[in-house]
Amino acid sequence: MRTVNILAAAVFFALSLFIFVGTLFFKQTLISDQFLGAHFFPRLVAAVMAALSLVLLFQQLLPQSRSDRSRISDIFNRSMAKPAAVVALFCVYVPLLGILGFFLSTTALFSALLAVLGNRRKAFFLVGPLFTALIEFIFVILFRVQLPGGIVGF
Amino acid sequence: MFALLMDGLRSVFSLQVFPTLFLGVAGGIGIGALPGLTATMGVAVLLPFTFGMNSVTALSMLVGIYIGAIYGGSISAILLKTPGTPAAAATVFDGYAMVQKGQASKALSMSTIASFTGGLVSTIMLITLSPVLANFALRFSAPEYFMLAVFGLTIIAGISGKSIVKGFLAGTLGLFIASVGLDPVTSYPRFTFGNIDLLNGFNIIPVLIGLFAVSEALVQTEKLLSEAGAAARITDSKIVSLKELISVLPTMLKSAVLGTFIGVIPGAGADIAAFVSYNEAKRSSKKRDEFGSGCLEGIAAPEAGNNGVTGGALVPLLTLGVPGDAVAAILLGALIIQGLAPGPLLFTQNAPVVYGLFGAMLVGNVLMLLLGLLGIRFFAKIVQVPKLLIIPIILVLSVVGSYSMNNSIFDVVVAFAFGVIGYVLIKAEIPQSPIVLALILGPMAETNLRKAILMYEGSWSFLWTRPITVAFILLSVLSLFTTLRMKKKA
Repeated sequence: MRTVNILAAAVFFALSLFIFVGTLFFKQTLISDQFLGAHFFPRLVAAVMAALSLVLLFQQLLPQSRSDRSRISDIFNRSMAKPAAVVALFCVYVPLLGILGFFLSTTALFSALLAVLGNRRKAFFLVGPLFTALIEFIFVILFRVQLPGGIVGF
Repeated sequence: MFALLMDGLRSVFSLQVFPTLFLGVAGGIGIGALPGLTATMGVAVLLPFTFGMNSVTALSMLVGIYIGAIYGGSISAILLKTPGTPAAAATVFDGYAMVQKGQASKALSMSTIASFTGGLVSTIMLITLSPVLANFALRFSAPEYFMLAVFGLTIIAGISGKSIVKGFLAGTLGLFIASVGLDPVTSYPRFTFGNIDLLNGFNIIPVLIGLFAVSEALVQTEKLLSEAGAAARITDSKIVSLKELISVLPTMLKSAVLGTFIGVIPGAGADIAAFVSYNEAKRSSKKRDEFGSGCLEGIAAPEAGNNGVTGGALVPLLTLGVPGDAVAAILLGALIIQGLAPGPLLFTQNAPVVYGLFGAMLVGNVLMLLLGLLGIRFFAKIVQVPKLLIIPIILVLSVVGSYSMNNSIFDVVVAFAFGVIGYVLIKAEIPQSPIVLALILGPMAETNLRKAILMYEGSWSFLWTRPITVAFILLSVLSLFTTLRMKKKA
């Protein structure tokens, strides 16, 4: 975990710098002379974040942490392929949601997810349209909560 | 007062009121259990149905939904790691851990009984202590609200897992996320990059769904590889025993009282009450090491705390006309629609309505207990659905839950972006809960800190010159100190 922690400390430190630099571009407001403008709180957060990331980094340099020989690849490795495929499916699904509507796009997504997860039971593929229809019924008809209609209207 | 309460209870058991209250509680449980449908939304959506009803019937139905929905949020939080409402976010830690140990029925029964206890205690406090509690809440101003938020943030130490530093780093990430959008004081757009959808900041629901539900679905996807398939999880049907109940009773009662007090303070809702109660239970428990790994106290505390808010939030509403939270604000609208003016005179001029409402809350909590306990066998079946199906179901519910709050596809994108962030954080052993906690408390902390400094003309002296802020500082130090000591021992 030591290497991952060093990486995490670096990421958080970079984020704190990003927040601080971002606040430099905020336009000053009338109460900025009391340091209480829009930048006040994000800068406070950035300072605390930077300090904490340095503490995390320092902890990794202590002798008891040095014995840890773990590598980043122990945690971030090939086993992430399926989650990555799920995320990729969503990257396709979200634009389709507005075009095809909730029912069609979600039914397709459900089936695609089952395929990605390695499903071999044909009956499971029927759950997609049934579950989506149930959700559509509960939200749209029962509670009158809108879901994306798309070109088909549901 | 006792005679009035009896009259109120009599009116609740009438043929006109009781079925509506029953429908309200049952509907509320369903609404709360569905991610994306909050108690506020449920009460708001069903408010128009009450226009034709008399005052007691209308208010009974609305408080029934409120009570049911706050409890219902825990069902999906426990079974699917997807909090149905933000108030159930703290229930995830131990609830889901118990499900993984095959104790879904026990977790659900604990949450039902704790919710009932929280609701009942807060209703009794509402009936008996309304004027005193309202006066206490009136003493809260910007400095006190700021310190309440800081006290809330010290909870991070307790929910940080192995590394407190990582927990607080996640907390600062949450505070940064909370600062995105229009500045609450000057309305200057911060970190929006010209995106209109970001002007209102990140909606809590999609972030919550992303960090808990989507990330968990991604983790389960990865585990499917190693577990070779679609085996369903095994769960026993044992509910919580009397002995176990007695052992968590002090925690439930303490959390219920805490939840009621937090509910009384306008702006501090059920989500904050749940986290504060969880932390207090962990801090004072003999089994504090077991928190997070599936212990009953870890469910009892947040559930009694969040349902404690239901009565507390009505105290300032009924006594002063000031709503304690968003649901109470809608109830204020319902009272006005019914031609009633909330405030001290309400208790003298419209006593039958007020005590009818109190009666409905008492009976509503009992109905919630019965419906919850009877439904456990049915709810627990969800756990037995094969993982292969549960993962797409969670992901589809995440889409609906994040979309339905604002009818926004952008919120769906936010949920999945935070899902990926949550997944990476799990891999790096950085806890996600501090992000949610900071996101809830961040706006409260920022707005009130800036207001307090302005009130004191640039000075920070409000921290040591006001009794309630000093009390909160001491509580925060005590909370941090005990957590650090506890971690050191562990």
